[in-house]
Amino acid sequence: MKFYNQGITYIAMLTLSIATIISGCKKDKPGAVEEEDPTLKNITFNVPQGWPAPVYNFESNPLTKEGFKLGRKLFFEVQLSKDNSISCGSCHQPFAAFAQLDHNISHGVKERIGTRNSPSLFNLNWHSSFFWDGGVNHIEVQPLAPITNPVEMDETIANVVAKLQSDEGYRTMFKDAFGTEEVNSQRVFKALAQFMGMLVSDNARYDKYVRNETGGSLSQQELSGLTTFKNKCASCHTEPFFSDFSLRNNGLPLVNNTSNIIDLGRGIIEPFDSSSYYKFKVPSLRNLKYTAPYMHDGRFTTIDQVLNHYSSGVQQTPNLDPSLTFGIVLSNQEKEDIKAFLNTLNDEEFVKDVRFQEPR
Amino acid sequence: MEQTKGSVAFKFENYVGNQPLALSTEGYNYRNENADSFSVTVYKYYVSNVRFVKADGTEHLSSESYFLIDESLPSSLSRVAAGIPTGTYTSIKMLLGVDSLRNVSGAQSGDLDPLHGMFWSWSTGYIMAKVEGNFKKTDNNNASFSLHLGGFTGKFRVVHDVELTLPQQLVVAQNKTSKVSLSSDVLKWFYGFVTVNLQAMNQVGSEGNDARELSLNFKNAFSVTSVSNE
Repeated sequence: MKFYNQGITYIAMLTLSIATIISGCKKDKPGAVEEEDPTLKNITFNVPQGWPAPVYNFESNPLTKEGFKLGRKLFFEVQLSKDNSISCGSCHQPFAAFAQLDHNISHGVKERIGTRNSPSLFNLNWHSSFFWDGGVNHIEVQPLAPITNPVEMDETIANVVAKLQSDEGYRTMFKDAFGTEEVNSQRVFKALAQFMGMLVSDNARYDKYVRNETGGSLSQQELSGLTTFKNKCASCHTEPFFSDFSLRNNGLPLVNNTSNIIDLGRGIIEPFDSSSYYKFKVPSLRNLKYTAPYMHDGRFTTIDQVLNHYSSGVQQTPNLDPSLTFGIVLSNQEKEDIKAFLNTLNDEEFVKDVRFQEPR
Repeated sequence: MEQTKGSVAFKFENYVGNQPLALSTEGYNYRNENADSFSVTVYKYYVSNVRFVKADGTEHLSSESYFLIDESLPSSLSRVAAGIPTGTYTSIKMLLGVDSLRNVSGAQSGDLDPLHGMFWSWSTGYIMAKVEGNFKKTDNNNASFSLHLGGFTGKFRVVHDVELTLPQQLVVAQNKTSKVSLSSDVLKWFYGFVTVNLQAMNQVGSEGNDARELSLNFKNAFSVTSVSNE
């Protein structure tokens, strides 16, 4: 037994000395041995402790370093748009938890304007539908919509494939990720899904509190906020995602202050079913510090406005969620406590994660 | 004993009544049941899950049979189903459209690649069939029509399973390829379950009752015109 242990130590030392030799080589000949890219370390998908099984688990799209790297490059690739002006990352910025800072409505190609606030992107593998109206049913086909939408990227999938196929750098990356240089839409979407699915936000102070980790202490006020939150908000903004991913009408005035558009929400997907009208997907409350403004049309710039809406602004519109018939009774103290608690859901490690930044 | 296998080569032939379909951006070559004069610029549809049925009712499913038939693309009109157990078949079943599973399973390839323009990006699902063209309005002005059938589940489902009887028995022999000619008739889009008045219904581009009703017309558009055994 003792001998066996010594053997392991010996192998470890040998490995160490080989590593030293390799790193020595690197100094002499830069590029001779590829240094491990720090932005490609830990490309593994782990279900955080206590979370349910994800909807999308890469089963039919095996996650690899090369696939993730390609997906990341594609996410920040302006060639996905018609005039090569914007990428996914234009409206989904890493420092904004992949929403767009300070934009109620994002701008597409040629400064075209849509109708909805670009949502934050994280923990997507647990979503069973995408977009504010839940119209898309799978993470892999999600990018089709912004790429082809005339007010977003206004490009065709055929053109995207052709542009990438004519780009030598991409051909190499497709080969690394999928075995051949062929570019096709399925590969584009699977690579993008590898990047997007890897965007897991589970390191807010709240998460560390739940896991009993260091750095996971909550103040008395934050704990009071958590209690109030659980009593008054969590039926829709359910832990651990702080959304139950359902579609609901939360009683916003149908016409907002900045435009005259009445957005049917889910009614756009199911115009034949009036009970779907004015319903939008419940957004996560993680990372609110980075994702303002709020609501499907970005009408609220502060969390105070959001809380005031629920306490005194809910409108009796068709299909109003039954839980909001009387709004949510909240004292000023409760609002302050909830705000303090929501602040513990900001995940700075996530927004600064080197794996998720635009490649240089 | 290992099962012997052969192939069937399908030829899809699209008609308007008795005339072979000719795509055209000019004039109005055709008249529908409602006496609207029209022309056709685009005609595409999915056929999938092709099954070969024997007299005793047993079926063989041709795996991965997803055929996008596009009148503008001659290569799409000739399709081969391989690996069919040898034997004698009396009818063919097929799904007009794409089964629900492939509508909920993420990025697909080949005939199911969304770059073929048969996929709704904002409300996931395949366009199972589409016909587009021009028609003459009652004031004699030109207008375009665009009828897209989508919806893979629920009460407005447009995907239908059809069984086509064969004019003669289909014999599949080992390592041989027998031929089956299938026809579809564009005129059938416009009557059957509901008579379409193009003046009133000329744009269908989402799931709903219109698409559902059109699909109940369209499902009667197909027949097998000939079988040639090798």
